Amino acid sequence: MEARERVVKMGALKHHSIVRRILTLVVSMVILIALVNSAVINTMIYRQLLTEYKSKGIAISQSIADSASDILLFRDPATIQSLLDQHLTINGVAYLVLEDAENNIVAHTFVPQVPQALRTIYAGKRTTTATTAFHRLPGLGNVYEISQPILFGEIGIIHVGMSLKPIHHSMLKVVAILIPILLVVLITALFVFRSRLRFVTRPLVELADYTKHLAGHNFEQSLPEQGAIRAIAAEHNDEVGRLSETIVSLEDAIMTYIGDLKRTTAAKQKIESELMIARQIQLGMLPKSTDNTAFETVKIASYLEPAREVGGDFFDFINVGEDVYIVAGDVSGKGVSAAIFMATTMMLIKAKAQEHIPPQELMVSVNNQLIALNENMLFVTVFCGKINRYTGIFSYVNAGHPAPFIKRKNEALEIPLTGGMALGVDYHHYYQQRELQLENNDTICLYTDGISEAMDVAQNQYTEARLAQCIGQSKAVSAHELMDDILQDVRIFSDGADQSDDITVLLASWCHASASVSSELGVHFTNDLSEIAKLHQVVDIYSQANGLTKTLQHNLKLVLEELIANTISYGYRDHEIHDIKVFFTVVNNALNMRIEDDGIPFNPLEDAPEVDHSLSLEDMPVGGLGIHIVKNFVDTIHYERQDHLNVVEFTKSLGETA
Amino acid sequence: MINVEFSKEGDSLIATVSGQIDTLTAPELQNRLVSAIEQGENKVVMDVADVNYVSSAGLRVFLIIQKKLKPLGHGLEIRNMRDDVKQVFDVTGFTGLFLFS
Repeated sequence: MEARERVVKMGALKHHSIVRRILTLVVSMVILIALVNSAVINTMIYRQLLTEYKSKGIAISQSIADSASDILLFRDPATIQSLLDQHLTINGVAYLVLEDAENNIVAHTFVPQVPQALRTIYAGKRTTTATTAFHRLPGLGNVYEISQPILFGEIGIIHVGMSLKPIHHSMLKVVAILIPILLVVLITALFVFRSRLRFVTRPLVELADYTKHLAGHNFEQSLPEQGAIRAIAAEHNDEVGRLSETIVSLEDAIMTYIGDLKRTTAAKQKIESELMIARQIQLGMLPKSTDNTAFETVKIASYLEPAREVGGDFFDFINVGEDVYIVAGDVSGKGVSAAIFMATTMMLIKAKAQEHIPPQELMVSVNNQLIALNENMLFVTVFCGKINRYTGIFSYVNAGHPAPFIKRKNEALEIPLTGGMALGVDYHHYYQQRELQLENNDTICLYTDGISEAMDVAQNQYTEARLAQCIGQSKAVSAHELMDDILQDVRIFSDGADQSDDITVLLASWCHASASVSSELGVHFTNDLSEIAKLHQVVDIYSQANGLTKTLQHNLKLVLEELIANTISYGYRDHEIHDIKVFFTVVNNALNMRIEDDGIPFNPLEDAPEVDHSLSLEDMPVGGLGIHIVKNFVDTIHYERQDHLNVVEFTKSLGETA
Repeated sequence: MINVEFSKEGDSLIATVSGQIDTLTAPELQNRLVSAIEQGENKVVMDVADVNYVSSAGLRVFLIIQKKLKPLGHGLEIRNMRDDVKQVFDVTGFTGLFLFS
């Protein structure tokens, strides 16, 4: 608000200064004209008067000379003096001096003496014609003197001094009349001019204010002053009017432009924000991997970077039974349509993988379903394989996807193609499956062509050969490190060039079961009876890795199954998913087991009935056997409720085998 | 993880079971055997030479089969049971309920 007031004040100041400047200019010019005018008039008057004086003086001197010749000849001083005195009364005559032929002053009108200055001038001066001269005499001021020889100077010279005072008086009189008239005219003109000037400059001030306001305007609607400016445009049929018109149309044009801009920006933002949501949804569909994502023997590292907001690349890793499925795919095209097709493909694969079927069946099924859904003739290249976590057998189908590599020590082996067509093209296509045996610490590297076709600034491609080289030479000891090496190498290659396609890598390393399990192990299970299969596998792997006897392995499996199946079946009153944790440790040649669950408080050791060996078949209860088995197959067992957890700990001696 | 094959030996039904009888596989074994009995088999022999594991869920199957067969005149006969599996029958007092051979 203060700023706005200041702007208005500045406008007002400018207004004053324009008017003042113009007024000063006009006044000075008028004064100059007046001065020049008076000077010219005065000069003209002066010259006119002087000429008159001259002729008057000549006439006087002539008349005196004519009459004086006789008198001088008779030398009658009294007559001469009276003649001179007589002429002195003529207006403008300051003095008269009569000299004889010998330059002696015969008579004069000075009282008492002829000034010395004149005497000096007259001394020895003779003339035969009339001469004129200016003298400055004390007491008389400027004098115009006509000297007239009498009878060609034979008799003498008559000097008539004409005072210039009357001329000066006349001139002063003229000025005295002229200046007031000029002043009156000037002042009147100024007043008239000033109001006219105001009329012209006021719109300029308004325009100045208006344009000031425009600078800080949001252009959502016209400024309130616009009406006034339009009025100026209508009122002034001159440059100011045209300027006003231009500025108003400028405001209108800016408003239209800003309005359009806002609408298109809003539309663009809406699309962008929806694309961002789509991106989040799409990225959210991908499984998350961390530095140590692992399914026991299979470790996973994954990375996907869409080139645009949404992309057509995807990957997946799914742990089902003893297998880990690994999938990478790339939908033809980019953007939203590719993203939707990608999502469909991914979901179909995920659902099929849950059925735990071979990749070959999976691909045939997904292909047929995609064709049924695919009216836009999109297709998708997919590599799908499954790793048996325990045997390391890798079975896979490649549907038109770039052949993945296996890093085996310092080599990058290309996984042989299976000759399959991309999904979504050929109905009932037969996909062939191949199998290979992984070796300990092999890492399978799936990728999409966003890697192999990554461009540098000179449009060169990264190529599969360079990828193979990078994989072979990498010193990485984990899937995650290898992934970092690959991405790093691609980044170095691209060197800041724009990413032209989605980039996806999925790495899965496999290590032999016995090599992956230490004597300390913590495993999570969920409260689902199907987890018992996993439990058995975990015990097998653990026993194998730690050299447990077959008997101990059998008994451990038995005890854990009884305890955990019991918890899963009876430990929960809700239908939520719960975590059951099992910890294996070896202390003092004994296996120490600890099982934690967050089920209802239950002490299996107290709450289970003792088995009566003498019972007959009819009386033998169908339930309650499990806990009895447990007690008989452990060395020590202990139950404790810790906060919200049931904790069962038991020990089993490793015997001589440890 | 479990496989059951039936064969006839005279009027006895021989059920050759392989794999492990645990919480997950017990229901399948139970169904196969119960339906065989319901189809008229009353002399059943289970050959468990290739069964390496029996948990309490497995014990329950043996018990249920025995409870169905006993009233029909012949009890369940179990053949070739491994020692570590037999141990489970021993500690639960099940050994006396069946005929082992």
